[in-house]
Amino acid sequence: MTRPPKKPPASAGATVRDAKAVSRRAAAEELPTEKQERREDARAKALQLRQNKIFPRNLTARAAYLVPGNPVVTRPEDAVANCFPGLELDVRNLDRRFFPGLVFEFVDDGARLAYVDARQDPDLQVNAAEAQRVYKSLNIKPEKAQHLYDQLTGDEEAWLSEGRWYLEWIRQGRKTLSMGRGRDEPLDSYTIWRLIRSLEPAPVTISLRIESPRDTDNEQPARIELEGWRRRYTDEETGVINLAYQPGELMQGLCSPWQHDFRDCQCFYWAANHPDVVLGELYPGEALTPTENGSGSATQKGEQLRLTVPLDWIRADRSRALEAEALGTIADNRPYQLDAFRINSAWQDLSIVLEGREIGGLYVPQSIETANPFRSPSILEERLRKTLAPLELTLTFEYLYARFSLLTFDEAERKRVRGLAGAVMLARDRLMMIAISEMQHLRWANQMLWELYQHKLVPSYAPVLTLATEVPTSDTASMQLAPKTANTRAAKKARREAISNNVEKFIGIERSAHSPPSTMRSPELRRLGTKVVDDFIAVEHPSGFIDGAYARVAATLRQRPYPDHLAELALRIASDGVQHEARFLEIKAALAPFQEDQYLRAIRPGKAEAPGDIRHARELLKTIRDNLHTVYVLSAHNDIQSTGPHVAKARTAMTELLELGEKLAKDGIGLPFFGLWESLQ
Amino acid sequence: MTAARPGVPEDGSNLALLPGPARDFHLFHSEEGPHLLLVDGSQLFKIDEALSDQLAATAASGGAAVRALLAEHGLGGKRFIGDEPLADPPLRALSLAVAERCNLGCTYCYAEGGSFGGAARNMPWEVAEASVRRLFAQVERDERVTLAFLGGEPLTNRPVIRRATELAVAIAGERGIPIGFSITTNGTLLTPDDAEFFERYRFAVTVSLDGIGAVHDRLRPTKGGRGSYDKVIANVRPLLARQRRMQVSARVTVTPANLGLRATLDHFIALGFHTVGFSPMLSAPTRRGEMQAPDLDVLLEEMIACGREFERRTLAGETYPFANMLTALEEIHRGTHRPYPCGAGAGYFGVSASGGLFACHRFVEDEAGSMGHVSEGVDRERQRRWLAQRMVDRQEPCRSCWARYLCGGGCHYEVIHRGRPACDYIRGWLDYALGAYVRLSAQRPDLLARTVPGGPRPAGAPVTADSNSSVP
Repeated sequence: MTRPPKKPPASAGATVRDAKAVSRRAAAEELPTEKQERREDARAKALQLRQNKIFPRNLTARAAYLVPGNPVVTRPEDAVANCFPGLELDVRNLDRRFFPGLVFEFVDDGARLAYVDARQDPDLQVNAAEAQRVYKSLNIKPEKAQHLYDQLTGDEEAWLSEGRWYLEWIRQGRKTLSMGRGRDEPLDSYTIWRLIRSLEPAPVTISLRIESPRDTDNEQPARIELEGWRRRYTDEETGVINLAYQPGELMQGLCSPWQHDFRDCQCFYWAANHPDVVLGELYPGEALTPTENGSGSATQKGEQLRLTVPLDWIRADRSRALEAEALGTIADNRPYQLDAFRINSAWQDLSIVLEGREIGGLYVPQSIETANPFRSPSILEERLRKTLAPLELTLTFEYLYARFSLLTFDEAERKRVRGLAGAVMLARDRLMMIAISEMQHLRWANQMLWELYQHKLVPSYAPVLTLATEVPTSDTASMQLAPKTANTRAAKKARREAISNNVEKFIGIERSAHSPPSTMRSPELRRLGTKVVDDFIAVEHPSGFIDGAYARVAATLRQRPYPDHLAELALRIASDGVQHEARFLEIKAALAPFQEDQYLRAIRPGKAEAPGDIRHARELLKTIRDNLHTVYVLSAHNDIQSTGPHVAKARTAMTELLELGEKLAKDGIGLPFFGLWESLQ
Repeated sequence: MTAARPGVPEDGSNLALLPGPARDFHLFHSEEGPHLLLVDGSQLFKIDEALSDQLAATAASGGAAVRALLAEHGLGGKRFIGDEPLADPPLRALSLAVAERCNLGCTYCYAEGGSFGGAARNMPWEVAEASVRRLFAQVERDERVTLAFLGGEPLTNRPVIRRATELAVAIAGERGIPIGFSITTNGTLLTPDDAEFFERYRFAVTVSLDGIGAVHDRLRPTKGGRGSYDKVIANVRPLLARQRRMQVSARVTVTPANLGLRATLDHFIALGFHTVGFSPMLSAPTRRGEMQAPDLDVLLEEMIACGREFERRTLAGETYPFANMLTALEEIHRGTHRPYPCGAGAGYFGVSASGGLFACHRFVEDEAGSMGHVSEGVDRERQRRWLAQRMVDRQEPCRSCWARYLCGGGCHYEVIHRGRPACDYIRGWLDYALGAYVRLSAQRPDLLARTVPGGPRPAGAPVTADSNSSVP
């Protein structure tokens, strides 16, 4: 009945993995053959075992089937454990019992003894086999362990149970670590914890000191020295966690309940996932028009402000008045946020946020309904191909160039102007995010085009990777926002008035932007001066050119016979505009306190024909362009699988270009994106 | 995997390195692919070709190699059957030989015409009463007991049956103990009144019928040599029509003379019997009618043919109550594993007309199965010896047979008096039943639930007379 064993089925995944393994081996140093063979054997065996399928049929089979090994979720090394406090296991809790018989708390002013717990401590049950194993492995004399036990169940226990005792110093081997007690600045709990963490499981002597002389009576010593050892937290042979730890102890202080962590997570795990600063809710039909003489009633003005004032999403004041505008830093905002008790129930009042704006019960998409759809697919296609897609590419280059024109964080620090480095870092970060977003839009615009082609709504598709000839702008004066440095009533009032003025201008823009703007400008690579920031704001702002144009695109795509999902892309682009504008406003506010020559480099666009680095940049741009071209073509033919290597090449080239651009900018040369790109055609 | 387990000799008694075919597992192929029966625990797994080949190859290397291979795949980690015999099991079922006499002269009868080779007599009421009380002697509330009436022909002593039943019901009611009743009868003496009585107390009535018409008559004639079939059928019809709380089943004793099983099965099912089951006659005091090896081969073929019909009908959604199949499927589904073939001498005893306790109804008046007296209870010493000797892992050739925990070693009476002629038949039947189980559970698991009494019951399904208990 013997048959040759079946080979495992070849799958695409296996092929890729094998190929990678081969190339890795080729690239790496020569491994010893034996080791290689053993590894391959183990791998083959594991593969074989994984593929044997065993299916229990009857009841006893189902009851008795043992899943090999423990499920991964039960093993500490697979849990989400860290020291921060962690989601499943706070490793720091192990160190609370680093010394047998004692339990510490790491509090602000040091490592304080929480309580004595010697009688049940398995490490101190001198006669037990497990304890003797520990003593043997740590080279501890059982008499010493017995002595410690006697102390911690005798006089010392009584003394340590009265008053507040702190860890004063630790000695292991030849080193004594002082916790700094009794001096002006005792070590803080984090530092102490780190020191304890660095102890070896080996004999250790500690000294405990009572907090204040008043806490002692005549009989009680002010200091107690104990000789012991640093506990082994897990059993050497079995890996079982030391039995001194009580159920639940290792999970103290976790990120729970989640509502608290939502607000307080110090690694911003949650904060990265929930809305941070948002615009307030708009009720449908709310009046936006100002009164004739430009001042209206306080209520009307209040409503108008709702359009633009950024709010803290976790603010405690949920009323529609505007005292709760978002301030510049986390610490500033904290007093106005939902507190730890309220958030447990009030989290349900937090709003859903769409398109950067809070939504209450009713969500009414604004711009789409008023936008006119294009008459036909070919007109839509032309708009995308000739105007919108090229605009994305052009703006990408403008933004990247502007970014190169800024100092880096390190350069700004060296100038020793207070706050400059932070402002510059923010501006660079925001510009990169926006530039990436524009690149995304370029792809989406192309995607809309190729999908139109795939759905036979237009006769052909060719990738659009061309530059625009003009960029929309507006003729408003720049919006002036007062820097948010003060929280006094007067400052707040001044800010409100400034905002109110801006809002009226904004309304004006809004009204005028419903018809195509008459103002366009030429694309230009410029440094990030204030005027340039204003231009960027103008390009991005809601109901402006781009937003309006994509609103029309989305309105078109919502109709038959266009495929459903494409409208979403257009909507995304439109709503991203709100975010971009907000970011540019942030940049503006951040840079406002400084002079241009403080944060700008003196760069000029280089010559596109220049040799050396510029030539190299041209090659990189060519790589990018050619690979993107291929990716778009492949995608248009539904061959997404093959796009991988091309995307990788383009990405590598982009990274290199970024470094190169930075290098050139340091030397005062700005990458001449437009010239280089055009020379590629 | 060589670490010793407490209480287990180093080699592990059911995994000892004895030569012989693999005893830890049984492989079979079905339309659903290769399957593995792990003997300990009767665990059934679907596996793949690779593992099947590996197991087949490893079997020759002995128990340790097989164990290791199974362990690699996470199988065989749990031990179900231990090495110790059952210790002091509580008494839960009695069959009263209320009549050691019979009006028929069946050729193979274990009671040799009803009187067990002695003078024909009835069980006096006092003995019956003592038996009933003995049954309830060590039972706690909600623990189930069973009282059966056999013989000879029990209906020749109707009054004792009635009285004993009513007494048992009274005691059971008082003490909150669920009780089930059963009776095995040749059917010739059934009356409508019996029907009413059995229906009232939810009896499981088994009627012995060996075939249709002349086939039956040849095996089960009256003492005068005339046929009994027509009478039995005539008597049984009203009961069949009436069965709601009671179940009326047909039991066919199979001898070389009535191997045409399929026709019999179809006919009796059509008549309306609750179930119809076959028992090969392996050991008769007169040796007449005993099945020999060639007969057993035919039997296996016939049984499988009946099984296939069962499968076909079941998949079609029809009821086909072939008892042997139902039992086999239930036991396979549950993973029934037993070191004994039945409860004889453990929780179940037969009581003779004079009150002697015997290992079961077939051992009545047989010294080999003597176990005490109803007045004093079970002779624990004898019971201990019985249970130790009868463990399947201590029997040859059972200890090296893959089917041992499903079979249990074979009927004690047959084995003691004749030996084990039917092992191949049993293995053949179980192998077929395993395949049928796999087919049914793969194709229509819902039907399996309905068909198999022990199987998962859909919520809200009515509890039928299967449960066979009169809860007072």
